[in-house]
Amino acid sequence: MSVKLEVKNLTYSYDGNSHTKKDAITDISFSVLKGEIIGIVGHTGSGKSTLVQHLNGLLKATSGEVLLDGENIWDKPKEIRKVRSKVGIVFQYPEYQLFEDTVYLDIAFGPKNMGLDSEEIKRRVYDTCKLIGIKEEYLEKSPFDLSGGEKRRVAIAGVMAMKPEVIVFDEPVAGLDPKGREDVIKMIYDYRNAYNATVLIVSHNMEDMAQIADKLIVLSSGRMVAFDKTENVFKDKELLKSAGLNPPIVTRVMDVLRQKGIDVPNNVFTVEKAVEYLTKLR
Amino acid sequence: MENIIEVKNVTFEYKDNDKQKAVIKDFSLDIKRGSFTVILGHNGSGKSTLAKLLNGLYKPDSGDITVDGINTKDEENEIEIKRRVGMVFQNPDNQLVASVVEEDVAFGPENLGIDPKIIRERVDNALKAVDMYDFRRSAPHNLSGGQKQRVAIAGIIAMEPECIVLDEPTAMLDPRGRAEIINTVISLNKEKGITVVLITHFMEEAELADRVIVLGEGGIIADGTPKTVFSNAGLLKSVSLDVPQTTELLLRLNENGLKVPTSVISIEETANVIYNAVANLEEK
Repeated sequence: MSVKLEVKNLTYSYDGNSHTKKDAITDISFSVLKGEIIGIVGHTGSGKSTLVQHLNGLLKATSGEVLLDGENIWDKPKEIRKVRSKVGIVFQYPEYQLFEDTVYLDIAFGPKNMGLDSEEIKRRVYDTCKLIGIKEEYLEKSPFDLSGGEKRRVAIAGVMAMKPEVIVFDEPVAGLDPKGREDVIKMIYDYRNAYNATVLIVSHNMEDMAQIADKLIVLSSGRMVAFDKTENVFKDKELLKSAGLNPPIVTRVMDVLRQKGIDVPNNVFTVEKAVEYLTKLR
Repeated sequence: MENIIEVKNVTFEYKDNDKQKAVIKDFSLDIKRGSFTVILGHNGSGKSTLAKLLNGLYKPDSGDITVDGINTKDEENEIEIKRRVGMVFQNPDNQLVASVVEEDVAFGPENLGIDPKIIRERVDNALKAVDMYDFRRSAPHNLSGGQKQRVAIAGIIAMEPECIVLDEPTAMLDPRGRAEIINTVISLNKEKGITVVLITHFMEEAELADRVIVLGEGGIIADGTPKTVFSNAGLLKSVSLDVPQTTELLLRLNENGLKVPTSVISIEETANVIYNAVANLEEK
């Protein structure tokens, strides 16, 4: 697999604006392969949003660089818009940004801004809906008549219709009920599988990360304190604690059991795995 | 204990929607004074509609809601109802209006026409109650989500309501912010005796309530103490509610032949019941 996205010694400092200084990031480096799903975790103010906004040039680093397919995204500053159609960002509560009269127009908004012709725009809207299971009859509805979970899906579809090669989600399932959450997670998988896209997900929810992420980037006070397989990050209790994070709930249950003298391994972080081990004890 | 809120045979439907779907139908519920009630339900189960009915933002199409014996239907009672039942919403950014925290907290009592000297005292006390007194001169936009939400709660407390209705106050917060809000709500209930109705879809938040009510499409589908309601986790899952991972784990263990009680939620208790079940197996 080839490297899709590379971040090298990225530093961003806010000058003279002291109250936002906590969101600065310092010397962050990592590389992501095509088709990988990477979780970015860290508590509020750890620099997650600041980092993410560098990936498509919404923010420009004070020093360091972001390479997309080996090229610095700022090599040709005039073409930064092209980068933005290759690296899509789905912000928190994206449904608040819906504004068009119909679902069709909202999903078409991104592709239209890319300057595509109307045939191609139409194709992309329909392809996206088909891929992620938005029914065609929804396209003529007003997005404001949809439920919260459906609105979220439409807003995400708007970014997916631009067919970004890298797609970044900031808390994609926050505020949704379990059904809505499941739907959004499935959408993310479907998109990744269809285009072998690279996915980065910012989240507070360790349980979701345990389920979805291949690797985790852990941020604390603007520095990257870990970049490793999800399993290895969750094993390192000291590391998580120092970053102000808790391991997934299942892992914590297993830890208490181990302290009580029951022989369970320290790399269990999903319900499935826990059930497998605990029922084997007989 | 006497009832502070009585909901009797209430039906309510949204007029501006072409579906004309009744979201609340022949619904009845009593809330006891000083109690801590959690209302669980998935998106679209009518829980936010119910919240807005409780403080008179919406009026029932039929049936009656009384707060302290005052009917929410009568327009002239509006101030009296709002004085008694305060609302906290999901998005903290939509609730803060002033550019300084203490001015924001003073906004509610000012609208009630209270003497400025008393307002000063109430604002200070309210900010202390939510542990935000040190931030009284801060600008709300510099606060974290959890801190903003606590300021919103202080604004409600400063009106000295009998009851606070919180509609998914933690949905937009990180785990730290969620814990801050839940601790604040519990202390208001236990220490100040304020009646709390907390609407959420996080089951973990229901653990410390006196009473848990589960809403489904057709109204109340479960009503009891947290232990009794959670022991029926299958029912909760059937209405697509957020089952905590501990409950999920215990349910799956049962399905796979390890018999464990499913009425516990905390990590410690969950580990204990699993430990007991495993130890039992080993003895046999």
